[in-house]
Amino acid sequence: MAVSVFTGPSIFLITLFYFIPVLLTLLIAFTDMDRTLQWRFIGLDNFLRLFGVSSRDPFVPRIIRNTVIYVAGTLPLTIFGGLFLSILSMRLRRGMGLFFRSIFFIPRAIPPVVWGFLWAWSFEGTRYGLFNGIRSMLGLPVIHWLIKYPMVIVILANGFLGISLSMLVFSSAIASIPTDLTRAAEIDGATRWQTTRYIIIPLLKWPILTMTAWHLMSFVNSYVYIMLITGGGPYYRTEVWSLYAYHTAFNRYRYGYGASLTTILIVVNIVLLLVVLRTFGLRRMIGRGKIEV
Amino acid sequence: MMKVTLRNLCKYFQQIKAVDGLNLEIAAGEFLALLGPSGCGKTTTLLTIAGFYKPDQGEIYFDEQLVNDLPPRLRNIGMVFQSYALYPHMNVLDNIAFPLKLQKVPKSEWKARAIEIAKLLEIADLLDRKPGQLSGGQQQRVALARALVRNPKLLLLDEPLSNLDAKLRIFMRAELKRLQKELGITTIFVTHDQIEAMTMADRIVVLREGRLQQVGTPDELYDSPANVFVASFIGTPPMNLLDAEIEVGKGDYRVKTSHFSFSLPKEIVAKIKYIPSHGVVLGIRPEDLIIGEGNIRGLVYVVEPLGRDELVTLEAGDMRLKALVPSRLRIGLNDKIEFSFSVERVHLFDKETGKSLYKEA
Amino acid sequence: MTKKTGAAFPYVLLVLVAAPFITMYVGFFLRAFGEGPQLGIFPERFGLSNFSFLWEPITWGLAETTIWVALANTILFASVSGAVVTVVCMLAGYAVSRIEFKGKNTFLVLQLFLHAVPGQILLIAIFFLLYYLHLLHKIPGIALARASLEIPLGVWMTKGFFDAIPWDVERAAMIDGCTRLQVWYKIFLPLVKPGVAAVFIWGFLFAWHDFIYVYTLLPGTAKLMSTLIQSLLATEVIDYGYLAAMSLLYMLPPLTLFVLLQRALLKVPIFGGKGI
Ligand SMILES: Nc1ncnc2c1ncn2[C@@H]1O[C@H](COP(=O)(O)OP(=O)(O)OP(=O)(O)O)[C@@H](O)[C@H]1O
Ligand SMILES: [Mg+2]
Repeated sequence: MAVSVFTGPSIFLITLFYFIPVLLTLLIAFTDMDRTLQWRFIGLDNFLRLFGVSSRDPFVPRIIRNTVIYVAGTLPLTIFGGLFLSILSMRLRRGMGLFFRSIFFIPRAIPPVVWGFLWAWSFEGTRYGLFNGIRSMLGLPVIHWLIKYPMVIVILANGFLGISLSMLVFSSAIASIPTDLTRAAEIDGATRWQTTRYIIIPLLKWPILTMTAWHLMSFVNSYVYIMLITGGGPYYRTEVWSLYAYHTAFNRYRYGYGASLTTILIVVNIVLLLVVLRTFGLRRMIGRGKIEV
Repeated sequence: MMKVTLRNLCKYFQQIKAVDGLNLEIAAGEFLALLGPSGCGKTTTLLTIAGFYKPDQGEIYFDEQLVNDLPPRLRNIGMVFQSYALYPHMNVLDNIAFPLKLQKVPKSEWKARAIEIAKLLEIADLLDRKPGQLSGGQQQRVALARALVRNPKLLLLDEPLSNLDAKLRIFMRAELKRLQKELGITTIFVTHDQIEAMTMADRIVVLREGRLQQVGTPDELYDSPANVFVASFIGTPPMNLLDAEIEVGKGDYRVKTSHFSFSLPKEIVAKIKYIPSHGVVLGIRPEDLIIGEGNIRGLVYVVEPLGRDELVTLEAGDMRLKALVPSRLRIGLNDKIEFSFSVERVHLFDKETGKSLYKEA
Repeated sequence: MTKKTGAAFPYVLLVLVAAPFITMYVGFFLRAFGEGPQLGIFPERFGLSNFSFLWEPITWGLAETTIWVALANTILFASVSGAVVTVVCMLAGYAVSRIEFKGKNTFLVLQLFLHAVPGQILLIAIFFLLYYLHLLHKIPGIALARASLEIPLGVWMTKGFFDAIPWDVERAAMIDGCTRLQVWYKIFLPLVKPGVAAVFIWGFLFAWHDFIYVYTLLPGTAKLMSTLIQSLLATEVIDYGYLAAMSLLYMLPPLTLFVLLQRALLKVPIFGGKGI
């Protein structure tokens, strides 16, 4: 009946901008589509190249290593950083806690371009960069941050974006722990640290799990901020898989090969989703309707 | 005026049988009460009649028309919900006129009709207010006005009085009854309060766990309850129910309890349809007990004064009985007394099935 | 004594972590209002010359535009996107909250999945899709694509708003003669007005902030605020003060919107929750 009036538009848009693109990606992955936009199917060539079976792509091993380092850096930073900041800030008086949480929420509240600009400017390799300016005022030599430590900068910039969200989620979870519980622990003789370790953190299990899963997916696919801060450089040192796919398609106009890189990413996503689903189990959160017409 | 017929109506929620095989005929202009304890399926019955739930089995007829598949908005019914369900963002006038506006009635007309019904319910001076600025009693009248404004053929009321304070409730009971008779709209009224049902309804339907227990006028339900459940549910204080046996002698039926026994008078014997082999339940209404005379001995366990009357709990053997007696008897705690009861007014039920022995098995 | 140091301990740690960020934010702010070269945090003198883009055209390389064109385009892009998100999610959210239909659970779970997979990795295909639909390089077309990214979470969000409305209100409306669509716009939309505002702002904000969709699908020229700033950042000589000032302007409208509608938004669970 009239349900389609309500669900129709969303199903239409989701089909158009999620499902069809996935199919289209798969199709393009089997072509050598370039800037002439000609469909020429070349079978598995892209994938053979990608896996190094024939005319191998020399960058692939390095891209994989970058991606692993990037995710292995940002994910723990996001989770442990978020835990650390939320636990500490929830100990402060309301106003002070709010102040610190706002400082760390700013990355997510401002536009990506501005966040990228802030980092690019702060870590600029000349005296005109913020931190090098401060260093030279103190008589210290400038450091070429983005050349010397590009991956560290990229991990910090993205990790603190993750922290914005995880800190918020953990803080509200901590706020919802009944004070009776922590008071009881105190009366039982627990120190602040012990209360945190044995009461608060175990109660945060569910938010920690969801945040880990969510950010894992998010970091595996993220490239926009890297693109804005280092552009993947210097010389591929911060080029991760999704950024490589983007550059291949839109900078080198090799859409076919870019699509095959994306295909691998889609497969990785599906595998990750299944793993996450298995660990969490699908919880029933959907109620039954009370009008049946 | 419209007649409503339910035929073998069933509504299940997974394994819960909320309504289970309901057969009912509601006469045009009748005021019918659906009575039963919490969770017995009253609201579900009402919502199924309104069309929100599709029956799993059975039919609903409005006059002769089968309405199973008619959506609620086309059934031309009025309904007052327990929570009143007023639209919080509309003022009283717009709330009342809403059904008319949906029918594209011209503004001059809907306004006139809404004001007319508001006057009838004495809320004409509240028309500009939002529901949040009304008292519970006023909200209830607005909900009633909204239900009545389009002259529905059937009015459904789901515990409309339960959110009012005791005094207002008694007042509205009379008002509602008068209004219903004045307008002559067929009305189904849900309540779990047996006094409300007794005082207002033409007929009462007693439900239990989705099944119909008895239908009848308030007097029928009171004087000849069909089973133990109805007997204990109707009447305050509730009927005394005692385990007993019937011994059949020559031309003589004797009822024996653990503490006393008596012979059944002729008019009762005439009513009995069968005698079960496994024992009976003897029912005596508290007002049928006579204290101070008789041959049963007992002890006064507690006395609860009710103003005009007193409720006396008696201990007799291993039984406890409640008696409703005039206050001037002046009975004291632990007094030893004799008592009896009007034997021609006792009720007898099958101990196994709970059914009245006066009805066909 | 130990008690005191114990109480100060969280402050010390937090200040240590926050210091670089506070330096960045303050430096950024001062840079926007400073003139002349800036070494470290403090500029040589204060002035508004960085805001010259308000009265002068903006050039980069050989190209030229004005801030007003970029602002107007960004407003168009964000409004279309916000409106699409609002209408589509309000409709779907009502359905999943109130109507029993086949595949409802699948639909809801699917939204969760889609929310977990960032749509930006599908840009190559979306580029071709828009190309074949003749929507490439057109702001409303790209706004539509951008809006779809917010639908999965939006459906869950609006479901939450509608779940809070008692069933009896809806039943009363249906008895009074409403169809489901009438219930939706006559009763439910007015009742979740703050929610409607919230969903719109949320869709608007993400589109306003968007960079990658605009950059990829509206290529060639710096047409929106985000791509304008990025293109200035990608030139040989970067004027950081100018960029900081422009970034401030870029962040102003969402901030104003949020402050103006704060009271309405605080009534919405997702914004008014505990935590921050
Ligand atoms: N939507 C539903 N889903 C599942 N079970 C339901 C639903 N609605 C009612 N029930 C169950 O059906 C039975 C009858 O419910 P109903 O609301 O009709 O009772 P009621 O007689 O109106 O009770 P009350 O006097 O408390 O309002 C109950 O056991 C209830 O738990
Ligand atoms: Mg009920």
